[in-house]
Amino acid sequence: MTVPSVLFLIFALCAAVVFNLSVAKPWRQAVLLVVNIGFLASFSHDPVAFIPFLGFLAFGFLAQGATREGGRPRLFLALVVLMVAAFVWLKRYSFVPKETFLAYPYLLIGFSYVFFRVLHLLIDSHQGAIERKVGLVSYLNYTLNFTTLISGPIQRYQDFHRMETERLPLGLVDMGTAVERVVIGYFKVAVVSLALSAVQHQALQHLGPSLFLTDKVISGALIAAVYPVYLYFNFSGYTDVVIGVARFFRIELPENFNRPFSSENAIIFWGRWHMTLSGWLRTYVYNPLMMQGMSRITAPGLARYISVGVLFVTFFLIGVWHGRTSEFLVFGLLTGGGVATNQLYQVTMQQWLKPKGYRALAAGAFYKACTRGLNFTWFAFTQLWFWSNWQQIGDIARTLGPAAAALDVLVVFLASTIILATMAAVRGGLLSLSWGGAPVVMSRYVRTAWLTALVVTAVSFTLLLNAPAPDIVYKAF
Amino acid sequence: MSGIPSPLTFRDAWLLPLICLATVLIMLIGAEAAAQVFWPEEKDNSCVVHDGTLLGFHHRPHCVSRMKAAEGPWYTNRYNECGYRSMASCAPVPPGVRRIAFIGASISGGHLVEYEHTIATSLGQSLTAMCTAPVQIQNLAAAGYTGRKNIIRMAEALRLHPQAVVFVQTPVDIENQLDDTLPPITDAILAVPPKTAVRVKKIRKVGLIQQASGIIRESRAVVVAQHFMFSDPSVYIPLFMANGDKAAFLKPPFTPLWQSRLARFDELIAALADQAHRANVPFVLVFVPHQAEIAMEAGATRPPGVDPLAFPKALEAIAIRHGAVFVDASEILRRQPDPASLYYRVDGHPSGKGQPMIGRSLAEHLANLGSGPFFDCHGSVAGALPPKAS
Repeated sequence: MTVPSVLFLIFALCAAVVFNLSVAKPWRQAVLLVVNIGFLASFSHDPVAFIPFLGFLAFGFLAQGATREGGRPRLFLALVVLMVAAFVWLKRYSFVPKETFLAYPYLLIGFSYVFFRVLHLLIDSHQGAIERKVGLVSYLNYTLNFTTLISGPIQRYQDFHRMETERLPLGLVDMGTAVERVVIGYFKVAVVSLALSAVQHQALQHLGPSLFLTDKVISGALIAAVYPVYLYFNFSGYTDVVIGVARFFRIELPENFNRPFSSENAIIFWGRWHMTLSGWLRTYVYNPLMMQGMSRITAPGLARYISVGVLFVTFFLIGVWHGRTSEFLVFGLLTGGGVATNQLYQVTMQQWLKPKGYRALAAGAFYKACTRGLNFTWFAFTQLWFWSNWQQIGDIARTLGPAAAALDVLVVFLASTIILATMAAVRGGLLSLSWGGAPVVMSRYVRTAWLTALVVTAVSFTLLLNAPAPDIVYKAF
Repeated sequence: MSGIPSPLTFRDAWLLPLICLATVLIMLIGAEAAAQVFWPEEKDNSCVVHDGTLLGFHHRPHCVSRMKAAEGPWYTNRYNECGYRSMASCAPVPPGVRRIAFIGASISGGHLVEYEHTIATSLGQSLTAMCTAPVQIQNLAAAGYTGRKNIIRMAEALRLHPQAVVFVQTPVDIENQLDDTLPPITDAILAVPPKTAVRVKKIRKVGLIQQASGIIRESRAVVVAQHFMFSDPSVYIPLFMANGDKAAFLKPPFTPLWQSRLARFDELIAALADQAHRANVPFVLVFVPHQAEIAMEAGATRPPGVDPLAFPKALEAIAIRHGAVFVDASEILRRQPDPASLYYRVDGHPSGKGQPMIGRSLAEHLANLGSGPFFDCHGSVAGALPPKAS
């Protein structure tokens, strides 16, 4: 089943009606379990294809049960290593010998996200952060939750369990807000990301060696700059839909995006882009590494640079997690390198200008606009290793040549600086228009009109083009 | 989605639905306005004179008009001194020049395409290139000349002393002929078309649903929407097949209604062929398939029970029975790499790309008959019959 699709929405609506027929916890748990299993089953008709997936889930359940609340620390460590190894092996990472792989096709839909959830359960359970023993039904509903199975967001078990036991209210306003979220998400995926994808494909097809320099620069800039915007609408649209749908099951999923392109540097950006992934890595990679580093390196001159190295490792892992090929290794190096360089810059500037002076510099409107543009440009060019392969990157580089490539960086930087600054100004202006003490654009009347327009546009777009919405990019991870 | 939303008030209960409705209306009106601006249409022919004759109208001699389908380009209609859509004079032809007369309805008349792209013009140009002497076209056809009106038109065509009369028909023309409410056509009428017999227009009461459906049918935004929707055969074909009677000609055995239409058409062809034979002029019946038939070939999706060959076969049998030459344009259109572009998707008429193809194919057919007025014409016209894809 494709998410988001009309079929998915109908499926979710029917399931939500049945789910809300009774307030009894066993009823809701049972309905959710049936729905989750039904959703998972829609991805393959071959029962054998589910065996590795279910085996991994069973392993996770038994592992977290066996090492609860600090018990058996050595076994715990071994299980963590084994779990990571099982993930790498089942995902067929390229550095693992091919001969060891299972020879038949098996289902791995949303497997990375399931891995994050299971590993989090194992660690938190061992550290005593989960008060009660995790029941099997609760475990399955948490790991296989159909709203988050495909591409997250990665929810903490504690939050999920709290909503299982405490009944979140679901009034008319809540339902309206949830529908609003679904509509916005569907529009982002089915209309905006589809259109942006078409623009990028056209630019790719248009790019050729016979073009004039100006045309080359425009095509190159479009190829580089459109993809991150497309990815944002594609992934955040999916997230909006599942957050809205989950609300009907009285589950509040965590946010995954918070206007990431308004970030002034790479560290802030990753706090606003795929937030649940960076949050997970902050908790289970960054924080432990920082604590280790600070406990081992006590020299004051070096201590302030610990975060540079730890950030590099954390965000390198984010990059590498996305794929199994050498392109993703480079993507990881660039992502980690960007964040680490930014941290190094901040540390150096604070030493040079003193914290107060650096804060004053960073608060300037021109400086903010330029850093936003710079951050976008960096992200856009690192994405080349995310969406293309070496062959494509080589072709693009050869076609553009050094002059056009250099101009492309400049054009993307200038254009994104101006556009993002304009958008920030327009947003500020719109939010400043208030009525009755609240921004006019946030009133339910304006939002109703806006949503109706989105629905009409999305329906017309889907019907007229008769083209399915592009698949969710993060479904592949 | 920020902050805690306030509860709904009584005012919201009616105001929010009203806002939804108003937004939809504004968007629909906006879409219609945009469609009217960017997809203009002019279907009224300013050269048409409603004359109260049995034909209902004629074209003003030496008149020029501009028309446009929403889906197509602007084009010009030029009428000669007889009111025929022809660049050549309707006066007797000079020695050595051959003449072909076209009768029929919209497609015969080159409706919605530029003169150079009509079937008739393309036929004339192709035959001129293939024969030893020029071929002139007099096009007496026009949108609205359906059914037995062509008997009157045939008499007029024969007075031009043509070497052949061509009658182009589509399933839609054959379907529409049942609406023909002409009185019996006598020899006296055929001698000189009456100019005083006024036809009484039927005044029908129009219900609300019919009015609403009329508004939707006339909506330019709907035309634009359909244009994009119909570009995909997998969308267009099921929608067309859902038309019921209109699509039933594709599914043999034919329904009683279609059988009666074919019987009526048989009578019409008998009458036309008889007129032509009495004047010793070959009569050519050309079948142009419905775009749905071509779309089925393009989309490789043929609904169960559909046989696109059944209808032209029935027409061919009628033509042979009455001694007319039958030409089926289906084959040439079916072989094109982009068949969807051969028709205006919503309007349904062959486009400026489809009509010349039919004309060239017809020329080849006539030239290769081996006998008749074009016996001396040989060869083929580039682009008429592309090789079949293997």
